[in-house]
Amino acid sequence: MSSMLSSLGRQGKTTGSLVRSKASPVNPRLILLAVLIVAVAVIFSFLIPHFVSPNSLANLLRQTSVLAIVAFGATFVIVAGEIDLSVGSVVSLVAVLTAMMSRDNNPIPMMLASAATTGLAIGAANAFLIVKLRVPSFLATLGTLSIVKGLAMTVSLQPVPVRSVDFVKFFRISFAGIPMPFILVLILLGLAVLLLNYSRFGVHTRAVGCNEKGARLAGLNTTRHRYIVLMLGSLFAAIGGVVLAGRTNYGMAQSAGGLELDAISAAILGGSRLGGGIGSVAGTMLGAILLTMIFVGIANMGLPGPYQDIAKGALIGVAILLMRKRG
Amino acid sequence: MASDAEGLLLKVERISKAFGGVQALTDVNLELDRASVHAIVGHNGAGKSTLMNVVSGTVQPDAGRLLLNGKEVILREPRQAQQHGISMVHQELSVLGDLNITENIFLGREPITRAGLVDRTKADRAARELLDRLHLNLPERAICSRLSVGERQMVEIARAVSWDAKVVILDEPTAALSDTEQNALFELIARLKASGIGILYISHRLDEILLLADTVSVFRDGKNAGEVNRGNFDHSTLVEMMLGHSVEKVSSPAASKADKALQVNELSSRGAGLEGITFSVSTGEIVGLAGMLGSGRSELFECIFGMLPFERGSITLKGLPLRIRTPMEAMNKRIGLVPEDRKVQGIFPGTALWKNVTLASLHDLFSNHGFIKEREARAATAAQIAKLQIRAHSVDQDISFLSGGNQQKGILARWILRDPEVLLLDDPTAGIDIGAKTEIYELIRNLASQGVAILLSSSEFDELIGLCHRILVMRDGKIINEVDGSTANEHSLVLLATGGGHE
Repeated sequence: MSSMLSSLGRQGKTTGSLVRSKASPVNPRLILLAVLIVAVAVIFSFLIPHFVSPNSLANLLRQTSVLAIVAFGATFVIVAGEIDLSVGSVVSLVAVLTAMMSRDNNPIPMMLASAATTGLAIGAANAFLIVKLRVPSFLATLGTLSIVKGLAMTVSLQPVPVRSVDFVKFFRISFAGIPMPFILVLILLGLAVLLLNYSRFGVHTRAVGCNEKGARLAGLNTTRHRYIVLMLGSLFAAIGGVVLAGRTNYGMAQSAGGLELDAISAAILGGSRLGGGIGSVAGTMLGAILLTMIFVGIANMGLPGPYQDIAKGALIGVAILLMRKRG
Repeated sequence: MASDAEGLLLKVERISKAFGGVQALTDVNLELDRASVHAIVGHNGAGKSTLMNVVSGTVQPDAGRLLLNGKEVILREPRQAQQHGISMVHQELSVLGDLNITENIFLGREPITRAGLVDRTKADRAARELLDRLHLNLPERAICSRLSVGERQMVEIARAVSWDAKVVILDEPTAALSDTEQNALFELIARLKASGIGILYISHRLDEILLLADTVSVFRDGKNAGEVNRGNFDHSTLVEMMLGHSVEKVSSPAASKADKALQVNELSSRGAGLEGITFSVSTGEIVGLAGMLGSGRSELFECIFGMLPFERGSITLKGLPLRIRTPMEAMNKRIGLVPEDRKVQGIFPGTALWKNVTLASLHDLFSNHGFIKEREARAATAAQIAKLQIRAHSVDQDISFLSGGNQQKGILARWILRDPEVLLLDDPTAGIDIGAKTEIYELIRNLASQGVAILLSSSEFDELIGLCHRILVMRDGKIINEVDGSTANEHSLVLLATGGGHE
């Protein structure tokens, strides 16, 4: 499957250049995803008035931001051959903590530092379970998902409003119609692309995910690397938690339940291979946009809640099948 | 041996190594000259791989030393060996499929730009130069999962050489290669040699060794069993040195050649690499398959058992045509398979012995409307334990705690329960100690005398000679000869199976 992917990639040399150099030219999957996004937008624009308008597009970007940031982290984790189910809980916990801290008038750098520490600590705990105690990452992070969710709820069951005016204002800024949360997404996208595609760290992440034993035989410190990747994934989730608090003005313990699955879906749609070795941050970005568009569109169609879930699940399924066939 | 001091590159001095209680190497010596190929031959378990692991820094010796260019080196891990210029190309390739050739070659030592990113241009250029130097016509940015096995091996060799290698160790490098790929590999080896690199070459294919080796060392039971230089060996001297002593022979009682149980006609399978396989096994007959690893013997078993498809040919059982597409169908026709790799394909580690033994019969013999008849299954296992003298505390013991021989008896019991007409035994005594081997031979003879048709493969040909009525010699997916079990000798079998008997 993967070899088919890369063989297609080789022929796609002539098609623009989004991210990669001629070595691994633009994945045709990226183009297909973009086409899919346009197609879904066109369909929704017939069903929903004003679906495609500057306002609702800005809203779409705002809504995508947290998912995209978390999914960037998930991409690294998946490429390294692991999976992290705890990221949704991390987002919730960090959002609640950030809001709580703003209430006590802590300076913003302190809020950010504690968010980052929380993310890194949970990532390190996951890595300890997975790498040191050899618990499969699915099970280990299933456990931390529950623990971290519980922690968030002990901190506060009620939504906690963000009291720092500067903090809230910052997330209200927009440049050329692009809202601040999405500007952050673009910055993180750039960093993540550099990290995954152009740095040693990225090559080693793919190596570890492709064949850990082989990577170890080649002299890589795979233990340390897996630690770092899992902590990085959790750090991205913490950043997502901060952005969520800033975007919604609230920290809620239940706000990001299920986000881990959306993040994994975005990464898979974007071409990451469950099991490791292959993945694209740019693909994940498009995957996150497509998913959010589906969520927003379905919600706007005025279907009752349960139907929203069914339609959402079906659409994600169709999108993944489509991508698989072409890929 | 007669090597001038100038040329001596690597000296292995009185190396010993034990794993647990098993002495893998005893006082082993070896000398490798610059610009030469030193071949290492010996049976499985002769200590070849352990020695290579010592030289490549994967295994620490208990005693003895390694001298590189006259200076002692201590190698605690593969990376240290690589830094000294000793690289090993593993039998199971460690090329990473999702990375391109450049990334594989420089993994862990990627050149870095001032910005801290991987300097792809520089890495690609260096990879290109290296590939050109080795005359490898592969694009440096090709993703390795798209390369053939042979090409990946070339990449692995390029990676080994990229460490400014002085010593390159090749472990069974041709095991998975096609003929053309083999020739390309031999050319590459010649070029490495010409550039002054010393090559340690492990192979059991004597024809290759005759072609490549400047010196051959023979190992037996973890000890040096002789060393010869080019000009002083030919196929038959090597075979003699490998065999050493002969094993006492017991022959099996004659089989009635009356009715053919299993008949295979002109079976060919491109996927399995088999071509025009024709043979038969009568009831009560033990037919041996003599073939080296990669000769196609396991694939043949899998074709008969419905695990691999074949395009042409037919199989009949007691004269009736068989159409088997899945192992379940084979089982229902009372065919049993004891697979090649006991630990991976045979036993279910962590699972009770009784479940391992009754596994193939849980759906019919021990099924009560879909529920397992546990009491019957345990009783049947207990009966088999007594009958086959399986040494286990109870039917509940975890099979992975039994010795190899007892595990294998458990797998045999799995099929004996089903009262098979045909039993396919793929190297059933591999990695089993001599005592248990003898018991398993006895078991096989008993089964045959009860009328079971047995097809048996082994990479240790002396055991086929004692056991089989007829022996088919396999090589490159074909049956190239048939020998009578009572008149066969190991020497000629090894000659045939390793390609020495070419007409």
